[in-house]
Amino acid sequence: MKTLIQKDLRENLKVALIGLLIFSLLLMQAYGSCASMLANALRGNWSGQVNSLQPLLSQSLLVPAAFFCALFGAALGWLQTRNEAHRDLWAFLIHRPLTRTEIFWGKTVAGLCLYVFGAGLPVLVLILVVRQPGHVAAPFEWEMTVPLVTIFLTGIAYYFAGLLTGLRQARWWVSRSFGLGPAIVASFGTFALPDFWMVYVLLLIVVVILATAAWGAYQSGGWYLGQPVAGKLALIISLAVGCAIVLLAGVGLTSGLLIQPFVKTSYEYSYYQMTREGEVYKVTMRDNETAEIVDLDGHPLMDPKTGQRMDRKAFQMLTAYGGTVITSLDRPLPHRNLIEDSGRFFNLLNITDKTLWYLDRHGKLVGYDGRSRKFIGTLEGHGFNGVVAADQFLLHPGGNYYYSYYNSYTDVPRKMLVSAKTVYQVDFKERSVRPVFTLTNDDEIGGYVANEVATDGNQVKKLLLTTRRTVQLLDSEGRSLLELPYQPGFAKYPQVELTYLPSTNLLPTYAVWFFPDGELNQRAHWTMPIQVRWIGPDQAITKTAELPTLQTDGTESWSSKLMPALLLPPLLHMELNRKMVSAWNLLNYAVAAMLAAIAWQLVRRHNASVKAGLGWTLFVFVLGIPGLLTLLVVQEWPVRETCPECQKPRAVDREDCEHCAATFAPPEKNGTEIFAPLVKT
Amino acid sequence: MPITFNIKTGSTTPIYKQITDQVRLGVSTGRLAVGDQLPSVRALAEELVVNPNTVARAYGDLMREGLLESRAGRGVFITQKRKVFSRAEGWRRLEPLLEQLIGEAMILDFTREELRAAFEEKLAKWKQPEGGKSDE
Amino acid sequence: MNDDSVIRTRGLTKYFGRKAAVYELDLDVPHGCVFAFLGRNGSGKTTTIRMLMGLLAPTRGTGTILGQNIRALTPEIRARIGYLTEEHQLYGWMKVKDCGEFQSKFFPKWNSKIFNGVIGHFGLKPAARVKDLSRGERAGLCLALTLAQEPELLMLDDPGLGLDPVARRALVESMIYLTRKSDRTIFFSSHHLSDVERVADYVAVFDRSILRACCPLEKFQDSVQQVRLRFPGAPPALPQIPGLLQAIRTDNELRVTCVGYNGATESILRTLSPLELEPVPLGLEDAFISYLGERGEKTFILSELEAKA
Repeated sequence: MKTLIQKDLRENLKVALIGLLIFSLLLMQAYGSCASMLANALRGNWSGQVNSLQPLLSQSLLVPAAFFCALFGAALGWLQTRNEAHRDLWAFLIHRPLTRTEIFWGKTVAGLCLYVFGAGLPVLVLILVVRQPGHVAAPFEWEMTVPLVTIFLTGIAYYFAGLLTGLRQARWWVSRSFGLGPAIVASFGTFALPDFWMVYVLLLIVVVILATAAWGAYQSGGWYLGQPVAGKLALIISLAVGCAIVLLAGVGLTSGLLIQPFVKTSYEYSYYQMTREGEVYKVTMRDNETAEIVDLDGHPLMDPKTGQRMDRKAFQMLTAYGGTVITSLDRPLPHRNLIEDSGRFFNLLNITDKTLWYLDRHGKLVGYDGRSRKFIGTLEGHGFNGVVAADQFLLHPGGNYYYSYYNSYTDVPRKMLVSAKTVYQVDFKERSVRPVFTLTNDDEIGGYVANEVATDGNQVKKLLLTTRRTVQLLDSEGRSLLELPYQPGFAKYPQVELTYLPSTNLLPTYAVWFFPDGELNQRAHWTMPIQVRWIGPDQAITKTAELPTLQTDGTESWSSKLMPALLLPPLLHMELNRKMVSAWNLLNYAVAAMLAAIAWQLVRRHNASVKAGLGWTLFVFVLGIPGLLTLLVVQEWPVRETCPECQKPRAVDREDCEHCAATFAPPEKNGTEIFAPLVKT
Repeated sequence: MPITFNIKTGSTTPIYKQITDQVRLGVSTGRLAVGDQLPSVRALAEELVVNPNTVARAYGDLMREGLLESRAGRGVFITQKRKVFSRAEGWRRLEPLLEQLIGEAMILDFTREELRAAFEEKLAKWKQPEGGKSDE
Repeated sequence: MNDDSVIRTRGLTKYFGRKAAVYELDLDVPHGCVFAFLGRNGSGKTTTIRMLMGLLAPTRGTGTILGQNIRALTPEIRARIGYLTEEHQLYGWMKVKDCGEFQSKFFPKWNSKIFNGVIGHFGLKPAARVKDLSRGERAGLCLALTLAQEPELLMLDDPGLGLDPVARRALVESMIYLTRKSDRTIFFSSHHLSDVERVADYVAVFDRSILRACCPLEKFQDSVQQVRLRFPGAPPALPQIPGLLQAIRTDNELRVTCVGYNGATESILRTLSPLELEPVPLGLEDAFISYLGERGEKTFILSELEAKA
């Protein structure tokens, strides 16, 4: 086997070298574009994704890398097999005192080594370069390598898919590549699954399935028949996934091109908005029509100037400003998938004097010199001292994604940052941190937002913060403008919105909205109301209201129900439809049962055992159309000939007729036969 | 070696028959004498580039005819010649050759006398084989 | 039935689409012989060999090679079979000596003397790259790689294909060399009947996916016979003749080739009252061509064209 590995290494080295070259160039290019983003940021004319400053997290690096690893892995596997799958060269490979499994492993070990060489080496070099101080003016942690390494590992799934595709024999050429299906799913999983451990579990499953399918293909020379059961199952699963993807793409394309233009999609969503007078209106958006604006009693709001119903644009002029805080106390960290995870490590808060100030995920305010690209120190509660601070700032609560965009227009040298107890005024120019407000009791700050509010023509910076017990509004010097109890509590109502109502008698008044937690509300069947409090000039509650939650209640049209019912496998359709028995589900079951019946017919007609027939029938029933497609794609259908005995068509791969049990007749004699015993004369 | 075999493939005569014929010819023309040794099966097969079984079969036929004998451990030898063909078989084999000879001679405008003379002259050069023609 | 059959098949059949490439093949190849496998291109020879080598799953039927089921050949059995493929494909980037080196690591009985001997015989330089070799040279290299395994059973799929006469002689010599050990069996397919005539003990003839003949070599040649019938004028229509292969008609002659010519056949032909009835002996090649050529009455291949011109 060692010889075989050496031979394959030597044979495919060229492919790996080309891959190495392309990937290196690709990574260098991405690295370069990250560097130019830094240069732009330092010049002050850049606004964009903060991740771009750390190449390991940059989308402009991860996305091309994902494409490259997929293509390279698949190409390597495909070429490695394809080069040798010519009839006689394949015979040369197979005909030696090795088991097919040994040959498979010989190939695979060599292929994976080459993959690691071609794709892994550039990744390693990039990580080492990035890690080296002076190259990247952004924080580095080993965990930041996880996204890129995951993408690299996903390529292994493509490698096995390539191996399988290169060898698979199929009448229908396109179906040879269906093995790529699971690998594509793994790729999507990498970017879309909520947690990294899920990505790895998925990847592991996909690799095992594809490797088994490829191994099975080596057992039988690429045919379905003659494989061990494990290989057959793995092949069936792989192709089922491939079929499902093709089907989904096909349906998406059809509905996009043929159905969408003719069907009016009806969507509708509503939200509340408050005018500067403190009146609440319900705005409903429908399709592409203009919004409908009604008061809480349902009367439409009229435009006094035109006498018509007011449109949204005019209404916007009347609405009040507000700020929203999400209280993140006692809440689990947000999910850590590839995209969100890349935004989770740090936020860029400020660029002053060519110094980039990041708030990293540990709550430290770290500075990097943009020119030397080196770490220069941290800012902490007691001033700049060039060492890592012990005090933690709160991360911006709610949706890291939003905050991962840096907006150069809001770049001001002073900013308010908050720790669990204290509000600080951070001056990036002076590199000083000054406490302006501290909770003196055992309370704890749970979320904050800084707002620029125009009151009486002046832009004033205000800080809205929530604690375990209170909602407070501070001015930029930490003076309390408003303090009221957090009622109802943050556990059920984590989202607080403060609306600034410029009152007529020059004293500020406010309205406070408490929004229920979406998940809890859904579980309570949307019965948790939105609580609104109007606060008078003396900070007393003048009025309260409970507004029903406006959930978008997907009122779908029949056309959007029909397609899934016809096309989706029952397993998925049931999951989407929730209710076991509904008209759509029944239709779906009926379709599945019909498909299953077709599968049974097909399989039985072509000489399969009852066991295989039942298996396939169940498979098709559960998976629906993709299942049936898989059956058609996987099975090698024997030709049928008319049985000379019973005149019925019989499969040629049986020893006897399935109808009358007649064996096949020996070839008809034509009188020219010359047979004699083979004995030495 | 007193005899050089000349094997042609693609002939109407199978190879084993070509070998037996050439041995017979050698014996009848006196080029092979009693006691002459023939190459071993293996050696002849490799020399002629033919299957050893073919040579073995030819030798086997000749042994059955009594033209050859195998002496254990020493090889294959020409033995006392006995009558090989029946008279009828002899005539059957001779006839086409005679016809061909006469036909060719006629085409080449030889007279009967010339042909007869030449035939006698050639015949005189052959030594009389032992045993001679006797019966039938 | 021979119990020491090296290869045995029963009802071995392979379909490609609707067409049977090999149909209900019953074959027994005895131990220690040279077995020639003949037939026209596309008649199913290579398919049979590929099935026997476990590279192609039979549609139905069974087969054993060295006593083992062809659907599940173990490495031990493969070590005992030398297989030379039709196309002589090898890794182009390897050098001649690398190929030997490569194969030697796998085959336990590898004999580098044989390898060097055969490549020397074919005039191959050990440092030459495989991709630069001519077709014949590649065939020689493949042969060297196969023979050096010292296999019990040699499966050669058209080993003479693409070889020049000198190389082909080297091939035949190698095959004869191998028969020195009486336990060796050679199974080969070929179109070179002169080679077959030299080395084969037995022949099996495939005609359009069906095995029509399987017998000792001479038996085949003896069984295919031709008679020439001369007539005063145009030859009369031919009656039913058993085993008829071909009848070629000229102005006043009829040449009838058939299998198993005997007294009965002759008396049928006599009913045509020919002026002359003369058997014409056939060489192996002619016998083979008649056997596998178009059946029935025909004229010379181009005479129709002449008539039109």
